Amino acid sequence: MPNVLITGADRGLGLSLCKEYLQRGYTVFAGKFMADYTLLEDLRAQNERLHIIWLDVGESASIENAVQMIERTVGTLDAFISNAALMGRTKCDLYDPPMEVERAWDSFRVNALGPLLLTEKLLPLMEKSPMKRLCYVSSEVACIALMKYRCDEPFPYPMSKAGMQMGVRMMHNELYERGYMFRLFHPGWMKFRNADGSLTEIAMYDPDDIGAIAARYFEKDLYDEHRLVMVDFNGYEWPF
Amino acid sequence: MQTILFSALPTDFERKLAGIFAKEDFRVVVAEGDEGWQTLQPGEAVDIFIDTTDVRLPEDGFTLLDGVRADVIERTFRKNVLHSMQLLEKYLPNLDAGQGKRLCWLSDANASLNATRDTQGYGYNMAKAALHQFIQKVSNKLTPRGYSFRVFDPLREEVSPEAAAGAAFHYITRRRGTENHDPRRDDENNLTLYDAQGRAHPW
Repeated sequence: MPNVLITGADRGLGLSLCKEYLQRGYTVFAGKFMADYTLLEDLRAQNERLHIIWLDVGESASIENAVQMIERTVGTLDAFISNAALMGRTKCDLYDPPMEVERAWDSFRVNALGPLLLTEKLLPLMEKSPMKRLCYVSSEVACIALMKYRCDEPFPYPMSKAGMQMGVRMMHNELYERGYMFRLFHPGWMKFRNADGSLTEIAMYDPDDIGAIAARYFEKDLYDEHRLVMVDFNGYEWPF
Repeated sequence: MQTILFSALPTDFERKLAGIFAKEDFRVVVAEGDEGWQTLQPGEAVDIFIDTTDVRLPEDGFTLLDGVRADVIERTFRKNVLHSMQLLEKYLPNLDAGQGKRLCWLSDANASLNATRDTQGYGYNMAKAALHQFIQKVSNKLTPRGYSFRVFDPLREEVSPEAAAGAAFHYITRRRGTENHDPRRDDENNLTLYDAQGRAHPW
């Protein structure tokens, strides 16, 4: 059976994707970052095909360790799902200086540079895979034209997602001819999963429902792999 | 007389552009010391600000298969994005005091998320994509305060510095609503990336 690496798997969409891929028979490598969440360990107790890896996608050494562990355990990788992201509010108001510009770098380091570095390191493991599936969880906030209508969030997260989208675009330019298939997914506004496994009522969608939709989209073959598009949970394409 | 502030004059293109503004009776000041040009006085009003930060490092020519240079990406990001953010924050009070309220950045159409075919230059393109998003967010905030925005690609590899500077001057100083000779048309609210040959590029 194929295997997959999912980053940011402690909770939310990442955890739901782990459950979904386990049900589909995959061997799942789950990137863990949050020490205070044990939902992955609970899942591991039910399924030995789940391997938990400590993974900070913003740190090169952590990425190296994760890749080495996958190599030692299974030797190859069929699919990579970049889901980890650094969000949160930051002080970035032009009229209330100083802006915390380092927070913009932190967001970019984790949300844009991390997926790029991880993809690069994983390529040798994916070269022999017939799937070669590279999947990136993105957001509508990556769309520069659409952000014309949004001025509520701080700068760093949308900036980092636009940077990530550019990285994915360039990787697609480079790797499509080598048989790699790319997915960009916009999950929408999902409910937050607490450390006890319960969901907050704020937000619209259950991450398990979105995870099932995302997994189907990531897994199925498309007729137009040459096009890089961002698709949401309804299957609609979003502009960049 | 309108005052135009350049963040720096690093190449021939920017120096030619500053020369055109001076010839057209703008008061040209340069933020980062350039001999022969005046510097900004404390509290001085600025009408137009041109952030000329546009750094493409020679080491940024790697592909993914060559190996990603994280250090190059960080240096490029710090210069093209963080430095630009700090410049705007620093000079915004001067711009608030001015009448022109026009903000300009230099970029590259190859940093278009929709259009780029590049497989090299990850640092530059990713940083500029992030900067474009920053500019969009800034325009949301400042357009209601009377600001207008210009993002310009001088086509450094294709167009001479003189020709690019001439194109930049016209793009920066004109009202965009007049470009089609239709007084009803005013697209100042639409952030646009124009190049030195007058082409608009998608983000």
